[in-house]
Amino acid sequence: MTEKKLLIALLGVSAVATIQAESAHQHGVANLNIAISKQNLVIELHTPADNILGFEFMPKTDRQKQKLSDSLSLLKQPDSLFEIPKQAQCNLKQTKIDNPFAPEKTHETEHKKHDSLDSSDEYKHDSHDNKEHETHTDFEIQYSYHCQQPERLTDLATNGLFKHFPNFVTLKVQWANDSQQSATTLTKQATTVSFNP
Amino acid sequence: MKLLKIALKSACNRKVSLSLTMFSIAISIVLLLGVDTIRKQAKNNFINTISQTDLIVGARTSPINLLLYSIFHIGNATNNVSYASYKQIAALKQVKWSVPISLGDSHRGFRVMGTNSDYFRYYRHSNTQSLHFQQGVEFSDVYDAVVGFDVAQSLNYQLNTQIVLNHGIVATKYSEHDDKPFRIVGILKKTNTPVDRTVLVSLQGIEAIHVDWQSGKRSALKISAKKARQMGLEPKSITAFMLGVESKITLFSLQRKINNHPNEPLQAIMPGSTLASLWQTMGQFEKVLMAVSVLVLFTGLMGLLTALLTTLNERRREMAVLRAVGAHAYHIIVLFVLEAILVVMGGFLFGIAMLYAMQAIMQPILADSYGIFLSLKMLDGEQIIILLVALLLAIILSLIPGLIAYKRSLQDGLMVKI
Repeated sequence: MTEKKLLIALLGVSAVATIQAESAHQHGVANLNIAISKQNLVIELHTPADNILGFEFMPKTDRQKQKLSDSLSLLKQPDSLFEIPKQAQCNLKQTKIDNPFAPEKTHETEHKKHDSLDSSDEYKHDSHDNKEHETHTDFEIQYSYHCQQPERLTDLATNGLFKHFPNFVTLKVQWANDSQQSATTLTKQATTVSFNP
Repeated sequence: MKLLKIALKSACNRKVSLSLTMFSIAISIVLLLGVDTIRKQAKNNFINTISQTDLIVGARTSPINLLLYSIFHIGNATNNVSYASYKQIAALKQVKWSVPISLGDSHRGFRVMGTNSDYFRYYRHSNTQSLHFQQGVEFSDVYDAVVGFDVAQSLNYQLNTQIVLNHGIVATKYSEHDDKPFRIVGILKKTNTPVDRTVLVSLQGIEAIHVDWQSGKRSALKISAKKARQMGLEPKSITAFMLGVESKITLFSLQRKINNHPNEPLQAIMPGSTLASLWQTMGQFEKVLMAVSVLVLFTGLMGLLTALLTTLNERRREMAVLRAVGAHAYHIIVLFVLEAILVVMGGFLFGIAMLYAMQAIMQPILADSYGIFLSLKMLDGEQIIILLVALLLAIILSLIPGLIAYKRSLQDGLMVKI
């Protein structure tokens, strides 16, 4: 019965080795969350700024500023990043981009932005002090869609994202719909997440 | 038919070496099918244990660890969640339902779980199955307990049996909560999940048995069961809690909010996606195990080939006689193929019998220690294909000694002495 014991032992090992769901700032790696409920589809992308810009500081040179504005305009067109099955007839309703290098951004607006993201905040983000703000170099992007035929939403391709932003190496995907939830890891080679495991 | 009889009789003459070969094939079959069975059933088990729960919230640790200790009762909690945080999160608008879980005590080797009546309302397993009572009802009094199917069966408990809970997971005489016995008010139907091996009591019950305990030891001030009942019995902390959301759309923002909970470091995990990443990691190990098992089967088949080849010399006269009495050339080859089939099939039958016997023996041990519930099932299509491929391989391998024997029998038949 050693093989069974081995399997059990391995189960224990992998329990320690497995990645955190929402991992820390790691270049090349990003989190993609997909929620589907009734006729709503929400795609959230949390990524270190480096994956999108190639740098992680306030843009100084004209080239860096140009890069930031180019990237932002790309992010505003999720059609070029994600491929949603046409039969599902999904229309983009809302785009929220939490850009860490927005020049006009102050501590206060940061708060407001968070509040609007989680519209029903019961408690305030007291922990958001300035210190944390300085090291905050992640993009948090949320796209909300309304789909006419959500049952046709069988998969989602991310080739566009990997193509336009070559710094992305792995996407840790978590998804949930009304009947199940699962997770997968996407790479440049495997860019499609299927919602029927 | 005649050939089969000849093959059988001839094999009988070499029964020791052939039965050893058969045995080695049987062992490799046990290994191969055993790994496959455990792999599939463990996966099924795990997936069926928790369904329709959107998030599990507990102390910060690896998501897999949290899932294993809170739901599968494997390992122990790293830290607790304060009851105040639980109530705060449970009251959030996005939360549809929540069920607290308090672990840490045991009863004669079975885990005790403190929870509330919402557990019976919202816990789901095997997709949509809720918990059903075989007898009795859910707990309502502080000292009421509901036991899982296996607990009732293996300890022979009926309704109204009095039980004493034990402090901690390891039972010692000194850690018994014997001053506050519990009464069984309900026995659950079998679920094939860790619930079967759990004693369920109310959070107040857990609190009551610990009111006069301090840092793992009973304090000198004893508080009677009756007196404890009148105390507040509001728990200070719980191990973890499960929750469901109003709409899946808010799932990720709620998860993030819990992960950034201001008063306490907490972690919310999605059980489905945590299991998926567990299997992703496991997949690599599974492949290695399967590869090893396939190699072992191959070794077994090679053993068969060796056994057939080494007896070639002994069987020269046998073949020569057969040829002399009019056996066709292909008859000789068929004899070897038949022998290989006999040995391999015998190995299969013996191996499958051993596999079932081992599963029956291991069943309680695996369920006990690892929360894996094996059920004795028929071989599935994939496993039958594995066996057929092995058989085909054996037939192909047996052609080698068959051809050699056929070639030799031509010359051997003409020789006076061998």
